[in-house]
Amino acid sequence: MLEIFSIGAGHAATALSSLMDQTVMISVPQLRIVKSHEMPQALGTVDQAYITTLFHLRDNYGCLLFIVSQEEGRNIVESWLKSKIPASFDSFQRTIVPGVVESGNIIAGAFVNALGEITPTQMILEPPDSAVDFLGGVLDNIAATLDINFTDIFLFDVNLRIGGHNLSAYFALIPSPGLLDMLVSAGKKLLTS
Amino acid sequence: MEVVQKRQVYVGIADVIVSRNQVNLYTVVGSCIAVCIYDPVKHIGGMAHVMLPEMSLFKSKEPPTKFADVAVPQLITKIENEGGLRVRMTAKLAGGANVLKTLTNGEESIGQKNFKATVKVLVKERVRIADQDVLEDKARTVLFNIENGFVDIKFAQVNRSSNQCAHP
Repeated sequence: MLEIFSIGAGHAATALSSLMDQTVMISVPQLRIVKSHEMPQALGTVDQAYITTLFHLRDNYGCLLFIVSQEEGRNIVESWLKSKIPASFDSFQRTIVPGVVESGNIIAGAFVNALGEITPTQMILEPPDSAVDFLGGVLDNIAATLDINFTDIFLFDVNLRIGGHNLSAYFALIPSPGLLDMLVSAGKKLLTS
Repeated sequence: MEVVQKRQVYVGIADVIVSRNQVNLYTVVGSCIAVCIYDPVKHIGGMAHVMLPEMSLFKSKEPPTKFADVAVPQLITKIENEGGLRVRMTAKLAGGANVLKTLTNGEESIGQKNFKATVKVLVKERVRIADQDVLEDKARTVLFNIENGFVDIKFAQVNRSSNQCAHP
């Protein structure tokens, strides 16, 4: 999975470099497999507010999450625009959140394309949805609605380098049982080839 | 002057925890419901972190205390076992939000279902609801003070450099 995500990260870095008109590098130093209810603690504390972007995978293959702290979200967008964003609530909602969602959209799209290269199906992202809220609350909403509590989540640490700035974020894949089977099967094939 | 720091226990999804005096209960809920029940005479209180409405509606049954119709009666029984009396008990509810819009597709949200199911169980168990802060679209932190039965609710601070919501 780390290898697949790294391939996707390379594609995403190319796309982001083009969009942001500067060099973007993405590395994925760590993959953890955590239970959904353990994820907030794995990222820090449950009562920290993050910018969380949710992407459903069409045909019920599961969903992807792009998660950044508010501070790192601001840093990503300011590095992208090469300017300071005013510290107002309005600027945050109108510029920083959409900028983070768009960055997540590009990374998620590249990851899904990389997944498509190793699984027998083409996965399509649904339009994103986002919330700036306590991570514990956002995740319990997702877990309850999809009834995926206590299931395994692939949690990737993501390091971005935009221009000269080092930034960190998280990316999570919550696979449906069907997608998980496909990934296990593809992983076995990769290991034996 | 000596300052006594109260201990605080985190109530995770599907946990049902009863406490006395020095230990407060704390959780974070989105669509889940924090059910706080208190006996003001014995100063015993407990919290259930309810994730789903009714067990019969779902395939995945484990752990059973993630369901309102299992967790709430269990919480009441645990408080009774510690010496609490049902006639004195009151409940305070928080949560049931719909944090992400695309999760509902125009249907009743899981938060609304959780809230309705929790109220239904409390009515059946004859425990009065004293207060509630539910639904809408924001997650909540919930701090249940066992000494006096107060429930302190906070929302996330958006666009702040320090984004942690700290309780005393």
